[in-house]
This record gives sequence, C-alpha cells and structure tokens, in this order.
Amino acid sequence: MPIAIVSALLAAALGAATPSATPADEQLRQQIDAYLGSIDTPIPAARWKALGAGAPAILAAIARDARELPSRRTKAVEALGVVGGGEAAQVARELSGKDASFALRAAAVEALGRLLPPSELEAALAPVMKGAAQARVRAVAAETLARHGPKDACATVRAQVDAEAPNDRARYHRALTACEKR
Amino acid sequence: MYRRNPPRGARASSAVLAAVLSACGGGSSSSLPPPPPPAYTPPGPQTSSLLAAPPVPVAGLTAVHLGTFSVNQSATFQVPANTASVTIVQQQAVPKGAQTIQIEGTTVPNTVFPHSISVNGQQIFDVYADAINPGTPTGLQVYYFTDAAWAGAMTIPNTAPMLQSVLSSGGVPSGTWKLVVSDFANECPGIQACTTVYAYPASAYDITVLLKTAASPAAPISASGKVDLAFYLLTEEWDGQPDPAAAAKAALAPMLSSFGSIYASAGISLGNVNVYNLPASVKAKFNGAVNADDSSPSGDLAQLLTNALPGNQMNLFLVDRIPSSSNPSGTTTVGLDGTIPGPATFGGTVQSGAIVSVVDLAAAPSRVAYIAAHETGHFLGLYHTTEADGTWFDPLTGTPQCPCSSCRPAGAAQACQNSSNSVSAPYAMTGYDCTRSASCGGGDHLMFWVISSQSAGTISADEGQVMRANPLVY
Repeated sequence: MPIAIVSALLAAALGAATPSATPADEQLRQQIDAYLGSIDTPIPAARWKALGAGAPAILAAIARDARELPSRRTKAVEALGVVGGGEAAQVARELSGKDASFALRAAAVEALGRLLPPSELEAALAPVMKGAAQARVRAVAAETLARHGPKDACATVRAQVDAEAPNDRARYHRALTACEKR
Repeated sequence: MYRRNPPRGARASSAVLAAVLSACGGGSSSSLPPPPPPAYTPPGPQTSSLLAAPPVPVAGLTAVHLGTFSVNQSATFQVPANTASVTIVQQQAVPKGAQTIQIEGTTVPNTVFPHSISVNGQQIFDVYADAINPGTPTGLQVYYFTDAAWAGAMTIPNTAPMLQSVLSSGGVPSGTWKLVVSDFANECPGIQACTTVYAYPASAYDITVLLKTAASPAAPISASGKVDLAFYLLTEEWDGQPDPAAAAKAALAPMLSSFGSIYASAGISLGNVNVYNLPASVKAKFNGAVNADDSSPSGDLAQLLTNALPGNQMNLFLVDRIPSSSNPSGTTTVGLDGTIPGPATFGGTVQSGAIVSVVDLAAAPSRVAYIAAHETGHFLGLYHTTEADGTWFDPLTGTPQCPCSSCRPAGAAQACQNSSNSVSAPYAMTGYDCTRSASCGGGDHLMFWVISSQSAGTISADEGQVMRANPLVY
C-alpha cells in the first residue's frame, strides 16, 4: 500500500477539524487535537488546564461522539477529569456506565475519581465495582475508589477482592496497594 | 546545568531480569536465527542473575561479550574495517544498584551510558556534551538522550556527521574502541542538585558489543532489509477465542499491511511475524494497563518488557491502556518504548521492546500501524523529529525541524518554551504548524511527536540509514 493511501486512510480516520468561529477557537481546537494525537508523550495536567475556559465544551463533545476514534474519546474524558467544567462529571458518569470499550470506560471511571468529592464517589463507583461484567472494569473502579474515595471505601474494596474468583484477585493489587498507603 | 526531559520513548528497567547469563562469548554466525516457538513460554524462571539471555546468532552480526565492568572502569574492543555499525549493549549486574536518582527534586531513572568513548585515542562521545546536556545534536558524532535504567543500547552511527563519515569511509572508524563505563548515579556528584536517596552500591554492567558487517565498501549500510515482529497480547481483546493468538493475528492483518507500507519507503520489509498470548497471571497483574510514568526498573513498562522472548525481533506488547497516573496526572498515551535505541537481539531485558495501545485497532488499523511503526522507529534509534515544545530536535540533518520560535502561529495563547524562563504550559507544535513551509516541516513524518491528519509516515533518507544500520534489521 503506498504511503499516499496510508495517509488518506489516516486522514479519514482522524476526521477533518470542524471550522471554528474565530482564529482563537481554531487555535484552541488545534492544540486540543495535538494533545489528543500525542503518540508517546503524556500531556501533563498543567498543559490541559492552561487551555482555558473553552476547552471543556470541546472535550465533552469529543468524548460523547461515538463517531470519534476511541483513543480520542478516551483522552478527552481523561482531560475532562483534569480540567473539570460544568459537563465533565456528567460525561464521565455516562461513559462509566456504558459497556463501551474497556479503555474508554476505565478512563471515565478514573475521571470520576478526580471530579467527584469522596463523599459522592463511593455511590458512583461501588455499583461499577460490584456489577460490571468484566473483572478488569471492576478492578479499575476499585483502584479509583481506593485512591480517591473516602477512607472507609477500602473496606468495600477488600470485600470485593474476597468476592472475586481467585484468578481475578491479582487485578486488585494496585487497589490494595493504594489502600495500604492511606 | 542539568537539562533533560524531552525525548520520550526510553523508559526504565526491572528489578529482577529474566534468564540466565551464559557466556555469550562473541564470534559471528552465518546462520539465521531459528523460527520462534509456536507457543509462548515465559523467559523465566527468574534467577539470581540480573542478566537477560545472550543474543541469538544473526547473519552479518558479530556479538562480542566483553564481560562485566564496574563504573569508571574501561572496556576496550576491536572494530574491524568494513563495519557498518557498532551497538554497545549494557546490562546492570548489581542487584542492589540504584534504580533512580533525584535531580532538582525530580526522580530520574538511573540511565546507563558510557562516560566517554574513544576510537584509537580520539574521543567521539562525552557524556556531558552528548547525553546529559547536549547542545545542537545535529553537530555531534554520537548522540544519546534517553531513559535507560539498568539496560541500555547505543548504536553508532546515529547522527548526521557520523552517518556521513560511515558512508564516505565504508564503515565506522576501525581500530581500538575504548569506553568508560558509567551511569547517572555515578555521575551524580558532578551534576547540580543531584542526589541519590540511599548509599547504593556502585553499579557494574555486563557489556556486549554487536558489530554489523558492512554491506559493501561503497555502500556500507544496506539499501534494504527485513525486520521480524513479535506481538505479545497483554490485552484481553481476544481471550474469548479458542486460539487468542491466531484470532489476534488475523485481526492484525490490516494493521500489518499499513505497517509494511510505511517501512517500505525506508527499504525495510516485514519478515517473520509471530503473535504470543501472555499468560493469564501476567494479564491479571497489569489488568490491561501500563503506567507511563514509572521509569524505574521495577516499573510497569520495564517489568512487562522482561516478558520478551530472546531473538532478533521487534517485541511489541499490545495493551489496552497506557495511563499517566502521576500526581497531578496527565492523559494517556497510545505508545511507549523502552529505550532509544532498544537492545536489539536481547530478549527479556527491562528495555526489550515497546508497547502499543490497541484501542483503535478495529476502527482505524492504519492508526495503530502508525503507532507501532513509530515505536519501532524509536527502537531502531530514531528520535522525534521535533518534540512537543518545538525546542528539541533529532540529531539528523535530513529531517525538517519545526522550531516554536518561528513556526508557532501568531497570536497563539501559549508562549514558546525557552531556556531562560521555563514556561509551565508552553505551546505545543501541531501537525498543521509543521507542514506549512520548508522551514516549518516534519509534521508529516513518522517520527513527529503527534499523529494528525497531516501524518504521512514520511521517513527521510538519513532516518532510513539509521534504521537499517541497527542490528534489528537483517
């Protein structure tokens, strides 16, 4: 396959940037696209926060859009967990409750950990930790609760570990490590 | 002053490495490596030795095992005429050696590097000028800028001047090469604001040199070659299938087609491709995620890479997520490599490969191919053409640069990073910014830091030479 075709396929997969009203909006969108397109350079929280008040709405739209690439949606919901904004928690709740891809759902769960106060987090994530069909999703919810939930959430986490099949308990080592550090 | 952080890619090593050290006594081989086993067998069991298995014989490649040397000791070896490249592979041999150090309060992996390298008495590499605080990398004889705790590789040529010398002289300089062994912990007393948390024992490194025979005196670096790929499934995407590895291999076919197209422009075709399903215990341990932030030898990435099998193949671990969980946390990446370059032919080290997210595989296999090709490019010795800040570039002259100072759009909200006044959230160069003109280029290149609608998988002629000079390409 020639490079030109690879390029065309990539361009189609990435989608064309939506024209924005002002140059400032367009520049903001291009910075966000660059951050979402980073290959192996993590984007620190400070960079996301510096994008300003226009970023959350763009990120929320990308995270919710099922036509977007899963990696862009995943990074967008993670970024919402960093920058917050009016819709951020709602978007994360929506995506954490759906059986979307594991990566997207895990990112949404972790974003909730950053966005919700500890007092609300257990109510939001305990159902995921106990009820998600996939053990790997349950383990991510447990880890998030262990890191960001109220201190007594670790009792719930440990109970969940005991309830898991022996082969799945190793998935919880990060959660249990986080509990030990609290 | 200490300056470090741009190049991604290099990430740390592990606490206890795989496999047994056996005398890998040098010598060349005229036979190709045997085909990999059909089923995955973990490289362990772990032993008291830290060292990975010795390299397998590869045609055209001579492996010379120099032995174990403490830091500040010198190691010498002979490089014959008509040698296309020299690769120095070093592995930590002291189990309680420092894994990290602290510089200006930041934890930095204890990267292994030579303090200096000389050829027939003439110095070609100095750790401060060419690795810790390089100036303009395009003027250096040898460039080394990567995180490589406990295991590292350095392939020469990897800069414009040395490439030019190799091409005009029929190979790398022949004669007596001498390197002085070192690492960050050893250099720490000479680095401002550098500390080690504990009084670690001094490191010692097992050193093997890989000499790649020149294709011909007129064209020492072959114009074409092959690279073998091994994929390891950490993802549970295919676990419900009767044969997950076979199902994954079928699903990867479109991705491999794109990967092959990208590398074809550099004269490299894909050779053997194997897929291995990692054991359930390994999958449970990682739960699909590899933490991008822990560069220590006992960190996620390093530990995962020790599962790479011995052999001369690019080891690509397919994962679901690569989160950045530092505090304050950032956002995930879709790829990550061990070191630049990787320790080709050595499986089971803490740097033996790279990881690639499969999150977009179904929707956009060409995108996953691009990421896999990019990470393999790092393993083959390529740096980002331009880093995110637009202040750091690769050591080649054939790749366009995209400096923030001249390519950032007028009126951009964020300022450019600069050396005198550190900006906490500087402007990030985009694919659009870096495809606008001849002086603002590289945004279409495979090794640009971002994948965007401007990405075309471009590989420059000198990038291709660096890739084909690597032992991984046969």
